[in-house]
Amino acid sequence: MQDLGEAGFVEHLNREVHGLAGRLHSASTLDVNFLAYLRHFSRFGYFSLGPITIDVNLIEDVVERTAVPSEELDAADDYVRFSRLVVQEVRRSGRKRIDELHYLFAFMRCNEGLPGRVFGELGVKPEEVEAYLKRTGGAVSEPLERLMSPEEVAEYLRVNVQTVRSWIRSGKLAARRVAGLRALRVRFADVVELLKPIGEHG
Amino acid sequence: MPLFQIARSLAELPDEEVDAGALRAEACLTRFPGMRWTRSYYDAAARLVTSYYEAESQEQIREHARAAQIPCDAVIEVTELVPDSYR
Repeated sequence: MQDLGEAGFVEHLNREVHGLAGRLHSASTLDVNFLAYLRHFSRFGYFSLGPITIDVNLIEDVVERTAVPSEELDAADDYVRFSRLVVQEVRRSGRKRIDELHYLFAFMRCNEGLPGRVFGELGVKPEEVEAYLKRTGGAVSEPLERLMSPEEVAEYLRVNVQTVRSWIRSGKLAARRVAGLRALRVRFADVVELLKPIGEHG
Repeated sequence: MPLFQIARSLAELPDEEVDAGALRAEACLTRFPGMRWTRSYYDAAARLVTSYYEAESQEQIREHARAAQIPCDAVIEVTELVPDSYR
């Protein structure tokens, strides 16, 4: 067997799945793996990537309510099918090492369980995510130093772009001008700073 | 930790099961502290995977295979011979 899953994202995810399955007394189901994946990449309770925004707390509630108690933490049948989809994604991409996009696209294509329902309702296709990533150079785990335009910040935060521009004018959100141009750019890290959980604002 | 050789026949399983099984095998290892996958070889003609794991016992190897839903046709304890010992 190829050593596709050497240390890295998959190992971290596996630990999270193990912890979750143990806490829920559930087998390693597709839903548990989906929740572990979303939690791994969530910021302030949301998984957000281009056209995808998922309330991770809501998913956690659903998984906690629907998890079927099992004494064995074994791989469930739906996870077995999912693992084959991940491998198909790896082959499709031409890369050898499994990464977070292979998992995401496998969740998007699996058409069963919670991921099937969530992506069915969102109506987002893997091709749209690929196009977004090509256009923005983003990743599932957004590098904090990534630069965003005010429009991208507005899309990410689900607010009007005029709101973002007013934050920049008032100094609430730090921005820089591209030399010789009117274009403004904002560090992703500064955008994340705006997302304080309720109760932390002064 | 004893070393075990495991024969896994994939005759009836789809092609992607070679890698998908490896993915699940690694995922399920978190349940078995101390158990370690050292190496595997795939004979495509025979559709047979031969794996080497460090584990507490044959029972643990079989339990891991069941948890990961991967075949486990034969398990034998083996000793590793490395060239460095004979140079």
